[in-house]
Amino acid sequence: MTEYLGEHTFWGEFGNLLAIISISAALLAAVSYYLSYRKNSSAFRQMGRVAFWTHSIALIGVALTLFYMLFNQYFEYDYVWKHANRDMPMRYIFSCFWEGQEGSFILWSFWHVVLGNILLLTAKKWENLTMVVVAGMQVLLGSMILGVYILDFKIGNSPFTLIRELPENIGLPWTTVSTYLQDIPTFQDGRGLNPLLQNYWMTIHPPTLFLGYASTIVPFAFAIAGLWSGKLKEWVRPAIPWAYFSVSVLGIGILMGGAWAYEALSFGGFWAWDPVENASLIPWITIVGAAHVMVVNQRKNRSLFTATFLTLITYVLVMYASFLVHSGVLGDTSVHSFTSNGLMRQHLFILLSLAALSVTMLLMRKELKRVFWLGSIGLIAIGWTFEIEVAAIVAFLGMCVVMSIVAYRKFFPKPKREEPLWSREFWIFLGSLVLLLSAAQIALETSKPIWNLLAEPFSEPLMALYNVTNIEGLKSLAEGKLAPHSDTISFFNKWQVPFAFIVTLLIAFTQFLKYGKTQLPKFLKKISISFGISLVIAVLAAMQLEYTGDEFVLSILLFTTIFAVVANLDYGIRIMKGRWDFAGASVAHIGFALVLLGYRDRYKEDLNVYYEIEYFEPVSKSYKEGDLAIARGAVFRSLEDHTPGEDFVMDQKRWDLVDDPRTIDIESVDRWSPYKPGEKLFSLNPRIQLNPEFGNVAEPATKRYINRDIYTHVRWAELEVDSDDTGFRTPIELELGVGDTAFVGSTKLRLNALSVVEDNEREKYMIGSNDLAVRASLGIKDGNGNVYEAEPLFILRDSVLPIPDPVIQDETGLRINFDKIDPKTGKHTFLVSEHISNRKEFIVMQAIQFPMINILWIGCIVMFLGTVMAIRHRIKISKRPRKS
Amino acid sequence: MKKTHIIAIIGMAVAVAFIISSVSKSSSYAEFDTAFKNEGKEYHVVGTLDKTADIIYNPTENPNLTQFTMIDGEGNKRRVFLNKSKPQDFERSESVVVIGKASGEDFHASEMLMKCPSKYKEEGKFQIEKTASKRNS
Repeated sequence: MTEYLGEHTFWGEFGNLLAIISISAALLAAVSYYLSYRKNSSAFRQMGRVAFWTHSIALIGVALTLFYMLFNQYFEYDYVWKHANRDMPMRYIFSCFWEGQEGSFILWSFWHVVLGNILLLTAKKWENLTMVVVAGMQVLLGSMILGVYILDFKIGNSPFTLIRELPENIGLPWTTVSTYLQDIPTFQDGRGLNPLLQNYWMTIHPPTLFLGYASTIVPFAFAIAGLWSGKLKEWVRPAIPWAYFSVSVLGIGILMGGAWAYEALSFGGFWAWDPVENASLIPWITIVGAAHVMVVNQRKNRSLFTATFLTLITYVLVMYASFLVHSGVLGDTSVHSFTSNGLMRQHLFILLSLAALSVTMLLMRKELKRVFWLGSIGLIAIGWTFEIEVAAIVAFLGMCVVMSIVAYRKFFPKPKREEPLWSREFWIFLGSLVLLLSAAQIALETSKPIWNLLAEPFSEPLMALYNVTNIEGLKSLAEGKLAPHSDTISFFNKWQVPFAFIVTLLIAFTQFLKYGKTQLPKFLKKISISFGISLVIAVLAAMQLEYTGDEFVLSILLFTTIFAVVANLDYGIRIMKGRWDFAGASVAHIGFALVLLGYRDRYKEDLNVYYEIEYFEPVSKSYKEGDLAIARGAVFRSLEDHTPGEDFVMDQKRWDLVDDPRTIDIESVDRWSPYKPGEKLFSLNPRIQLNPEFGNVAEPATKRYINRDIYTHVRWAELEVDSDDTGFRTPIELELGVGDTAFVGSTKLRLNALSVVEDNEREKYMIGSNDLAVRASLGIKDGNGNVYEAEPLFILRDSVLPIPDPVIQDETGLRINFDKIDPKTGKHTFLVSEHISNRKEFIVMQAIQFPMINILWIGCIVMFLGTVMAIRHRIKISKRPRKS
Repeated sequence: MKKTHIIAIIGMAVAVAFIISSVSKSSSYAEFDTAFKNEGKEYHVVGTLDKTADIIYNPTENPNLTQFTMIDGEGNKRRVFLNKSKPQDFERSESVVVIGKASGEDFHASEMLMKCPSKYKEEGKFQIEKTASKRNS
């Protein structure tokens, strides 16, 4: 064994040990809690608690160890090397921690620990089963950072792996060198944090988002516990505050991602329907639906299956989001750069286990559970032995769907009477279905890479179907080549705008309906005021925004969102009379509607409200041909369209003296005035962060006004000037036939003619009598329209050896070398290079105007406040003794 | 008919509409070969930038046009006209996906995704200098 110099192996081993303790303790906690439930024994419960606390301490220890290693910059560790470096300010240490997958799994687990401990203390009679779920999940998540091999099968990636222990490095000669840390320069400094991630958003966004993800386990655990213990309905009440909590935190986490993209990344906007963004949005939509029907269920004892189903699927979708992002299946479809972590199978296993657990619990009779389990095991066996795993997975998913339907038909109570049409419960139920459809649409489109994988075993029937139906997409699917819609943003908006339209409309009027039966005339009377006010505001706003007829759908959405805001305000003030306790829902709904209202204008991208200003475009030509101006005591007529310079003398060639001023109306002619830019309003500093390790990153700058933002970012800048000693750039090769033109920079070249240099001209060009020379006549026109000529020669010394004879054209700063003659094709090669002083320095900058973006930010805050109010209210209710 | 039935039918109709629209309007991954056989149809082509050929970006002429040559998965080279400004660090890109249509001899792309050398891949970074490895042996 080689003794390695300068390694800190203790910490890695310590970390790995803690990870193993953590996962073992979680397993013990899950088993103890299960036994406590089965045997109804407080001793087992106590054991479960102690085990979970041990797990908590060990997991926090894992996190602290990793922090310690990052802080002390132990670059022999892969994770430290990849995510930290010496130059990085310490405030980014958190960002380093969760930049990698291992770190983000630890973060996720950490939040489960926090929530698990709260649950452990507050869940009372639900403690046993909910903690089985949480602790069990901790085992699965913990396995993702384990980094051990069982029979060639790798379980998890440990963040405590030394670089020399990485599989790809094992056996390389340097790993046997005891002083490798000192010898190899690479180990002196880590690669550091991606510059895109070096800002405060990276410090606050991931923990919020992961808290949101983690929080969905609590309603999930309650639902599982309820189904497991046969208390189909009772689990809902304690789960409601938690569902609200998820809505709030996950929502804020997602919006923060948008704010980050808007503020710090040059994606050009708030929401781009990128697969990674969508993956987090889908479970949010389902938990919002779940939270609403849960409330209905409490009031009216309806929609129980919907509430259960949405709660269960939310957590499965959270895991699916993680699967999409981390396993590398998204591949080429996302701008976020993710590569496979090599744990796809393990991740898939966790995902399918959650689905299997949910379905098992839904099937409330033993025999059915057995059927399901036998079926699942059978599929695994068939899949493995015949190597048709994908088909087995598809079959399994199909079975899950069928079994869920069976469970719904068999075990869930169906109210005898339907809910009345004009009742709150009916419309909330409808709303949650719309949300489910909206989530399904996003999920279907985002999952296209998955479709391709799942369709693989069915390529033949799909091909046959294509032959019958001639739908191109089926063929692509059969070949595994289905690609996302090319115009992603407008495709999603086309689908999601109608959903947003329905949802905002429901938000507006549903609160005015009562549970049970509502008197229609009364309801109409109540709602009519806000309806009228909103209509007026919407019409005014649409006029202000200059909506035209083909923006009809947007006008409707504008109206419904305003209606949602106004109606909820009205409801909060008039009906609730400002009783803050109950107003949480109204406030949250207003916030949501404001977010949509603020986002609204991004829909118009294709309709050109979002516009671009390219700054290097010429300033408007303020004098037109034929314009008259008085200067130096005489009247001049402009010869061409142009922008005036600073001084008339310099501009004089553009003007012609009017010989006889009596022919014109002298009164109406103004004095010549030089060009002056307007008053300076503000300055912005969009910049490019230079980073040799990851590449340069453009950082936007935004001018904020109350009613709009002006967002600018640098699209292109020439950062490295290439030039030789004489100050000329790398030549560009032009192939020109006689009469052809080409551009070099802003200069236009035309090959006018070729001619052989005659004997009597040889002296002039200083060429010998044995040399063969061909002269090219080039016309050169610069950006201002001035025309010059150049005559480069192609010289063959003694008719064999080509002699380079570059010609420098001074005015345009071009060096032209006649390089090759090709009589066959008639295309001759010229090497043309520009002098660096020739080209003006410039950048390409894009400026985008975002009107009303502040409404979006206000909406975010209002929504958050509203949900917090609602959580408080719900906790109060659930503490109140049950009226029965 | 019950209200729930009506809702179920509407829901299913919308769901079917999703799937049909998702499949029928989808673009497809392809190689240049296919794209040029079906001129005018939109494809996603995955490949790499041909670093030996010129990348022409002339912002003073047209800030939203970048020309470059791309090599697809089968090794075919095509000239691509991208209607976008030249992305930062384009030369360093590892792989690119262009979305657009073939037209004549060229591929006209409206959108491009590019992957830069990713943080997960650092080939050859740890190759020790020969002197160092010799010292031990």
